[in-house]
Amino acid sequence: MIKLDSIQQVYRASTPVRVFEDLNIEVDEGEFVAFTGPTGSGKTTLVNLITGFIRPTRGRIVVDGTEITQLSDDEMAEFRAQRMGIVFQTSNLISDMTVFENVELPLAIRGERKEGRKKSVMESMKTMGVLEFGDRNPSTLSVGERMRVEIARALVTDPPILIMDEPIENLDSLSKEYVLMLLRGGHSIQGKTVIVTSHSSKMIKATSRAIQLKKSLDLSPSTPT
Amino acid sequence: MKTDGPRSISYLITLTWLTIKGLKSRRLNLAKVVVVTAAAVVNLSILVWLTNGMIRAIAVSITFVSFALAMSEVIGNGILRSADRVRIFMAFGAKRIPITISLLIETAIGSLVGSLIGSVMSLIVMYILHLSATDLTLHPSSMILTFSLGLVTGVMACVFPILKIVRPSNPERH
Repeated sequence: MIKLDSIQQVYRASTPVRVFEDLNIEVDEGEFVAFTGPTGSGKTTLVNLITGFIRPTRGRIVVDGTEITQLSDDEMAEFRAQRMGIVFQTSNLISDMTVFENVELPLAIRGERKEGRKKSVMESMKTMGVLEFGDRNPSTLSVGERMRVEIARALVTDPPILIMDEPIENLDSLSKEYVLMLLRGGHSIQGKTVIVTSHSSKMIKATSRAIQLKKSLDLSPSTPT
Repeated sequence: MKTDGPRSISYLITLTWLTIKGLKSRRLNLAKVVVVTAAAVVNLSILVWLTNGMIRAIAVSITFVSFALAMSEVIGNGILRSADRVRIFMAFGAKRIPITISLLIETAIGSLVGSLIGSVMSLIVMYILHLSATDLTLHPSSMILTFSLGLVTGVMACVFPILKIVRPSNPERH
């Protein structure tokens, strides 16, 4: 379970920006939830809070029984490596590594042996239909292909939690369908807690619950139609 | 942590992987730095040994241009790329210590190779120009200069990525 408890988030700037005030959200294990809302409503901030890239100004975040707001940076890094697969809004593939090496990265960071890494990487790349791109440089791929590689990298460690920030917004229709098909019930994500941010009605329909974020900071749960 | 071996082996695997990929990623950058450092060292060696005003002026000019190129290469390309890699590694769970060690190994290898090639080249130049016979006491200082240049270049290549480890940032910029 992921629980955000009384979260306040303020970005300090010349004029401080209050993104969240007393935010409370619970996501059950195995649930598929979308955070939706207009640009600037705090979707990416919410993802960054749950992944521990930023810390809330006030409040607690508990993920699978661990209060991540109490972890040091290194403990958070280890927790992320164990529990989370993350797909960022912008491409974060390393341009001077091959596609295979990029997908291999989380396993190598966990210290897994070469034979085991190779098997997992091949499986994950096959699931996302990018197996034939293994030796290529990410810069030679289309936006949709790069996104599928990013998802393959997020899934390669078989994490119990998958977090994706606007995964289909910039994709071509084929890649969009590929990602949606995976999220709607691909075996590689079964049993996982999945959190996505999206404006797409197709994505929201695929989820079990959508949480609407508003710029006014009011949070109102809504049911996907 | 879920690994298929003892923790120390996992650590070693992570460190080896980070270092190999780091060196591979930076091979072109390292090669350029090595070549330019070597060129700068050769020029400085000539400068140290020659007294002719015109040749000294040319050597100074070439040295200046070479070093400017080396620094722009290191700063504009290698450092920024490394910093980018560091951010992504940390986003996927890499800890500070293995990243720091891998960067230090990259730096040590880059600067040592640059220094060694520079030393050999400067000795060859001195031999070809029959300069070694003029004042043997200048040899040690020439070698120290050579190693210092390589080391400074390597350390500069390392500083910025390490700052990223000290103050990590989210790979997403908002």
